[in-house]
Amino acid sequence: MAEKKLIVSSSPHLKGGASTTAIMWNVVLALLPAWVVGIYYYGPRAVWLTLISIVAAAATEAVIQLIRKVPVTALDGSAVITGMLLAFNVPPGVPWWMVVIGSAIGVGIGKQVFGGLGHNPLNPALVGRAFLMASWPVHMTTQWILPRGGSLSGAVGIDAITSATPLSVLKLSRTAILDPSSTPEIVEKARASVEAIYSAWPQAMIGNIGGCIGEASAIAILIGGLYLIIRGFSDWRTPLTYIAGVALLGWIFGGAEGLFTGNVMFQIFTGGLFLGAFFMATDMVTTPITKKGRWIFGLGCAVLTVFIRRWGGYPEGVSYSILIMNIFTPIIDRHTRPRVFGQSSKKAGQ
Amino acid sequence: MKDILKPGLILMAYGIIAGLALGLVNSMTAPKIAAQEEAARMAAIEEVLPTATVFETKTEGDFEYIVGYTEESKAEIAGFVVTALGNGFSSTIRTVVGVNTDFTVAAIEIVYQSETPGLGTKAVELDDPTKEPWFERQFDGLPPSDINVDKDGGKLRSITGATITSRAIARSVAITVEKLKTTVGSSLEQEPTEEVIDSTNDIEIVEEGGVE
Amino acid sequence: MSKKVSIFKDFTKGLLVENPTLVLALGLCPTLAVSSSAINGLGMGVAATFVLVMSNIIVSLIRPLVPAKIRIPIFIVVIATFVTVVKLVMAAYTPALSEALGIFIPLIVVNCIILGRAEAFASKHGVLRSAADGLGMGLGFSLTLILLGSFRELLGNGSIFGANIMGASYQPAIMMILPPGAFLSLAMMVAASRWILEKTSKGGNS
Repeated sequence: MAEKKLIVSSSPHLKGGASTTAIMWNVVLALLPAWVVGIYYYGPRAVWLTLISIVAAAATEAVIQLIRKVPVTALDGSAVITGMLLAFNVPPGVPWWMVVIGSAIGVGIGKQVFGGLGHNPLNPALVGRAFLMASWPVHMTTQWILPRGGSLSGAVGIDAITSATPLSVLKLSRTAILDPSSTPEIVEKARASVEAIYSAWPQAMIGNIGGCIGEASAIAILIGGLYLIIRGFSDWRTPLTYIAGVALLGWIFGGAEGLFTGNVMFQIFTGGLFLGAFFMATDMVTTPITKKGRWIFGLGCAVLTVFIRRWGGYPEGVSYSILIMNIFTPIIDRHTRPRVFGQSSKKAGQ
Repeated sequence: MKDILKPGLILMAYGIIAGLALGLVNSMTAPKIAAQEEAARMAAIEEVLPTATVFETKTEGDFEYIVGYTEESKAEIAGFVVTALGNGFSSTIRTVVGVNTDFTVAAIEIVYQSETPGLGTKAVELDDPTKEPWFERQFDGLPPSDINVDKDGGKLRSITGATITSRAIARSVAITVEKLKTTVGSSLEQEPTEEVIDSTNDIEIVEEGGVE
Repeated sequence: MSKKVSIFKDFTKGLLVENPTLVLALGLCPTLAVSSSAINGLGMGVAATFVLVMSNIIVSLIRPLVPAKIRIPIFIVVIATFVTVVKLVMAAYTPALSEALGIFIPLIVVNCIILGRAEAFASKHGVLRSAADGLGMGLGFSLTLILLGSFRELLGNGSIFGANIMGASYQPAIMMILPPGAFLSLAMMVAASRWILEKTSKGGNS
């Protein structure tokens, strides 16, 4: 009988009895609400783009495992998750070959090259996305689709901003407001844009805004995320710290006019934060095992996300924050190892 | 002591020989290199101000600009040439700007940039070498007030996916031309008009309310 | 007779079996940085080969005049002199290529291949053999750069040596001409060369 081994970098293993396959397919289940919402807003494209991505991911996994002469686990659910997450992280209008390449690179270079499930240091879907972002930046930043019944930025009525996603509007407006050589009219317009997108945060929460397929509706993601937490498949600490961290730091640093002018609701509901916090920052292989480690991970992601949004060249920072924190996971794990009873403490004279 | 001195002297000997060899090669190539750089500079200047034949560099404070005359006698000014520096995405972009006497842009030529290939470099790259560089051509004839990307209210179409690059070029050109306008405009006005004496000023017209 | 054979071997080993970039892992920094296009790779390869051959010859010639203690600084003086000569000549006669390669021409000085071969080979062998070694290593380096450059240029720009190969509708993967693409491509080439070496050493032993 073929064993389904869950390979983690150190013990303890996850809650009793759950095999890798069961966990993975539950994650897929948890992603379904977000997919359904994405389909509602962006149409049939959201369906087949995701399907193509899934097929590409699984196929790549199978092919590489055949070459490596190891058991083929393409249908254990992890490749499917990678495929789904990759499709959820790209603009809905991108050409089909991009998700194929993204998934293939994600599974191939992000996972298989390191030895397969359990050995990868970085989140495979994000590796694929990073590759796409660096290779075809124009596609990845402009091929949005108007959500059904809404506008790209969520706001209505101001033409200049209806063609950009909320966070890009924020970044452009902030640059205009803080630039000393901007004319008063430009600053006025920018302020109005910021007001408009801030007041549109309910749209961001429901999903009525522009963005990638999977980041549309925070509520749908929340439902899935809570399901996983309640069933014990993922840890509540990371999403909580991440989102709370972004809320706080986003308020302090994320505003368009200087310190303490950020809009908390806007910051947490835009830009795929929920998707990242619940589904990627909780990936068991690439994030810390220890409880304390998970607080640190979530916090680190929050700091990086806000900083990239504020000072980085991209309007969105979730993907890169998680990738960077992935790199720190081994160090975090090493330094947050719980002390075993019976060993003397390092404090002198005790 | 000896085993520090001897190797030290030997190393020095090598250094001297190397230095002599380099000096020789340098003296042979330096004129050619200087000529190359000057040629490139002149090529850009002539490109952006084709109506001028004689050029003179002027400095006002720390602002340097070139005046172009139509002929040797320097009787008529064809226009000006300035260099604009803009903070692009990954490099400082240097643009040579030809300016007409009415301070509209004659033409620009981007002489140095190191932006993202395929994005910012579209400012100078052409998919088809026989086509015109559309981004640079947009500037022809624009007054400084119109030199801005469309997103900021100007007339320039920015490069898709390279807003920062487009903006940097537009802003730097606009600001530099404005600077030229204020610098030259004032000195242009001072020269002839100072000579004219306003004869009406001899009679002082005292308005009402002389005491308060 | 045997001397001729060994000189030939000195030359050919640099091409694959002891390829400086793929096997000895020397000179990776300029390899990664300059291989964004085939022509850049070629230009860099030729320049580096020239410096390598000349420096190997000189280092071999001055062997009796180099006290062991200060041999490294002396080698560096020799190498730096040649590189500066190359830089000046290129700036004067091939300005476009010189600008394209930019700072990487002066960086040939610290290209480990050159110092590495000076120390490991030229300082211990005769002039003819050192020249052969330099030529072989330089050629191996150049071939690697050209292959790598072509691969990256093809995927990242749709062309090879500037000639459009992939057609107008090809959307180039820009990352391939950026640093991450360099690392990935180099990794693939190293993997491929290991595979070839393993296959040929297995097959050759029958």
